Amino acid sequence: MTFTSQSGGPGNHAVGDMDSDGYLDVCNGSGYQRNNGGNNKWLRVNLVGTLSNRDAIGARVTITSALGTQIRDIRSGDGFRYMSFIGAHFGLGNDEVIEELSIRWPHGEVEVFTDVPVNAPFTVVEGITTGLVEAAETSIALYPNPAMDAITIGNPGVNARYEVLDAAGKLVLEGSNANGRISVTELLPGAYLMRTTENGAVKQARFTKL
Amino acid sequence: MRNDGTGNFTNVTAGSGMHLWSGSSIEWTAHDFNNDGWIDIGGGG
Repeated sequence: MTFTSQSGGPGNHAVGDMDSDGYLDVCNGSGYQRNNGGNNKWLRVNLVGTLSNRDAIGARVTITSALGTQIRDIRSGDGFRYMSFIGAHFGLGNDEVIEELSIRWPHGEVEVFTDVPVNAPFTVVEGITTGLVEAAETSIALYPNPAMDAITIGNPGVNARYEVLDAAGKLVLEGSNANGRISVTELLPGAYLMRTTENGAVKQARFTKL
Repeated sequence: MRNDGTGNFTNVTAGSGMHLWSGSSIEWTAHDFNNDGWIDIGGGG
């Protein structure tokens, strides 16, 4: 671990890739220093939280390439006076293959991607691999939400089946005749997805267990 | 200070290049500015 001194570098600045060339630039007040770039490869990971906070503050992004493993934590407001770009930026040297990209969301679940293209932004919406945010044509009404002991589905049919999935997409509760109150006392606090199926029609909504 | 992962730190400043820094900065900025896979450190010198 050695460092070579360069003059004219940044002090306290906001850091971000202002010109979207894959190399981080800096600005400070009215000053703007554009990074002239180079031939090294890079990856930028932008996170969109759904169960977690929208900016995914607190997430940990880990990549593995031939260079080894690199880690970035998504943080906000870690600089003096300035707010930098909030995503995860990785330099890759000559590496053109990212063997694995994993995201540990603040909510707790981990999503893993392979074959991630380099030299491009990579945006991940939380839950895309666990199916939590797959399109639901119709939503259902859930109350009370957040729930403590029991939750009621507002508009189920008498033949509707219900399933409750946790943040990792794991089935934690299921049953039929979903009208009436469903006990959630055994669920750990957290975010869940309620999904009902009736005559092939799927409806779903999120709820929080306190 | 290198963290060995068990809560112990070793002073590795000598010979690292950081020992040549003469300035005192209000803040250090650590990013991989040249995309070589290694974090760079910026500070007012």
